Amino acid sequence: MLDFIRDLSLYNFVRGPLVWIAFLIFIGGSIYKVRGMILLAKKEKVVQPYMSFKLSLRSILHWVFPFASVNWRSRWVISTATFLFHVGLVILPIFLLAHNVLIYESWGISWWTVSEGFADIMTMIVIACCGFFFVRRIFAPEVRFVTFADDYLILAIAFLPFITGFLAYHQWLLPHKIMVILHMIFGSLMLIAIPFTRLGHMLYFFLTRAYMGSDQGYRHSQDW
Amino acid sequence: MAEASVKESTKTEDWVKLNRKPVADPGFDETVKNLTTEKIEKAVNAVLNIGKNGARFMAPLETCIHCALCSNACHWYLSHDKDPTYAPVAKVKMTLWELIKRKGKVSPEFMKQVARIVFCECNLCRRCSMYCPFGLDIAFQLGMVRRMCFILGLVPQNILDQTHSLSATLTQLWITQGDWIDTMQWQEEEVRGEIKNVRIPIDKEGAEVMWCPLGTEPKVATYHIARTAKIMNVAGIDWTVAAQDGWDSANMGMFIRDMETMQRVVRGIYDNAMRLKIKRIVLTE
Amino acid sequence: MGWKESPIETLHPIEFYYELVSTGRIKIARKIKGPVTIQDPCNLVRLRGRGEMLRYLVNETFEGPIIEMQPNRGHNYCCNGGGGGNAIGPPWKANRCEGARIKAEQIIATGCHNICSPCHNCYTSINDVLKFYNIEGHAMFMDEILAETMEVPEEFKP
Repeated sequence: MLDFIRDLSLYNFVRGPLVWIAFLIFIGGSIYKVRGMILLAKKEKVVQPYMSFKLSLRSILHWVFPFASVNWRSRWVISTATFLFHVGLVILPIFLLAHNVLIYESWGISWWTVSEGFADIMTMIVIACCGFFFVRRIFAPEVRFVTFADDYLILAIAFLPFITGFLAYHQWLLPHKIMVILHMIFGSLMLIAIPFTRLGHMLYFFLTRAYMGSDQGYRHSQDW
Repeated sequence: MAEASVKESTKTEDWVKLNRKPVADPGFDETVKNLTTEKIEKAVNAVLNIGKNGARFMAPLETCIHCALCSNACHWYLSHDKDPTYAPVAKVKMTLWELIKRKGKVSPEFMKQVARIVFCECNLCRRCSMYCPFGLDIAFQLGMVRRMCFILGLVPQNILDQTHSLSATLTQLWITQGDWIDTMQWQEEEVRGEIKNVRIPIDKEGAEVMWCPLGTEPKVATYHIARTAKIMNVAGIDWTVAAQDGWDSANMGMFIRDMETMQRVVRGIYDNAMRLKIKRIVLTE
Repeated sequence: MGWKESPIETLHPIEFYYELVSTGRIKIARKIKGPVTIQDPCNLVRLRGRGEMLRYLVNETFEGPIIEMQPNRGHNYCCNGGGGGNAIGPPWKANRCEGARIKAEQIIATGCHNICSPCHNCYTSINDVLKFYNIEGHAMFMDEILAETMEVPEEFKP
């Protein structure tokens, strides 16, 4: 069975077309979804007239930084975990040295990268945060009550690229090449899943916050 | 405590049946007898079809990550020893998500519990929206469920009666125009004991301020009218109250999402203000 | 159909009273004794941002000090009477008061007997809560406070 995975053609497929397909679906799907939501908002006459760029930005900034809003301050554990998790989620794929090398090999461009040691620690933090969210889903009563099977699924989708990447880097558990293939498959899966599952909160965050920020701001109030 | 409550809420017919103290309300108990799954399905889908055409309804459905960070915002949740069934997201789960999942095919008993959750365990105060990391408008979502319940008539009797009153007379408590004018004149006389030559001008055209009380004020809390008359006269405000229906700023239609009555009440006030060429409207506290 | 802004300026009475007091059209003759706490009505504070106007008025009319509920202003808990909470009627009163235990705890923590709650729903609800949990105190309307404390010039006296 492992022979099939060791076969170069699978590696080439995963490295080439699959990544291309994943990125195309991710970008195309994201544009489709965000555009659809904005069109829906335009249909509602009470949304658009009250939108304000300044008020939206104010609200978004208060919620992207940890401890900048009352709720983040009142729950420092989940606030820290959420922040570190999402920072890792965004920074690692873009600024990882290994990813940059691949892009350099293909297109001849590269950009600033984080050091390998830092990336390693960051990955461990992301994995630990996944564990924390998992434990929280199981043990916090208010979270368990609203947890569905797909909540675990999207957590797994976010978890798998990181754990496989981590194992591949350290060359543990499975041969390096197999782990890299798995890593790329799960990474592509996550990219594809973002627009079409509730991982889309990555995109909608800015829209929903903009709405609530503008609405509360219009009412001379605030929402943090 | 919180743990216990979830265990107590046994799953029957595959939905979470809450273990709450029963409260007798004819608006629920009598209406539910006449409901059928078909009727509920029709009402629920009618509202869902409207909701589908708006981002305010759809965005939270697709964004909510079930993190339950809104729970600490809710006074119901905190007042009940952090019982997870009172958390805002749990209320949405037990009502809206369930109705969407079943496409409205639910039993009247289930709908009764939904009505209790949205009318009697939530105030639509929007505090949860301030605590949601995404700023999702949970109150709007539960308001849509209130709309479904209203279409079915599954509304607490007292508030439904007040809405009927608003829809028939544009006042909250079945006050006739004669009673209203009479009360104003009576209060004017009362306040004259304290303030000399006090006036409650009725239907004065071109006044600077039109004051719109709540229906309860002429009915049971006339002291508000006396105090307002006192303040307005001492401050020397050119003020008036409208004689025609449409002076009552109580809007129960808004609470139960009876949009038709809601907009008629607002329109009644603006009609009066336009008719009297008022510059500013002052509502009551 | 509709307007973005109201075509006729529509004021909450707190905004109107703020204008009257801050421009001196109403003068405050005496101040009510004792510490006071403020119930921020959702419609006025969280959804209209008038917390500071309300505090200005309370500061003018009370000897004070103002002991704030925790949390306060836009973050204050709902009184549990809004959104139809009171209007659903007498059968639900006990249910409502149980749901407002946090409000009772807030009030006890301030130790105030005067609770300024300038909203019909808040007023009714706070008084019910005080009674239900046997807390000494009373809710007060702003028109009640103003009518009591304002200066009535000689020419208005009968």
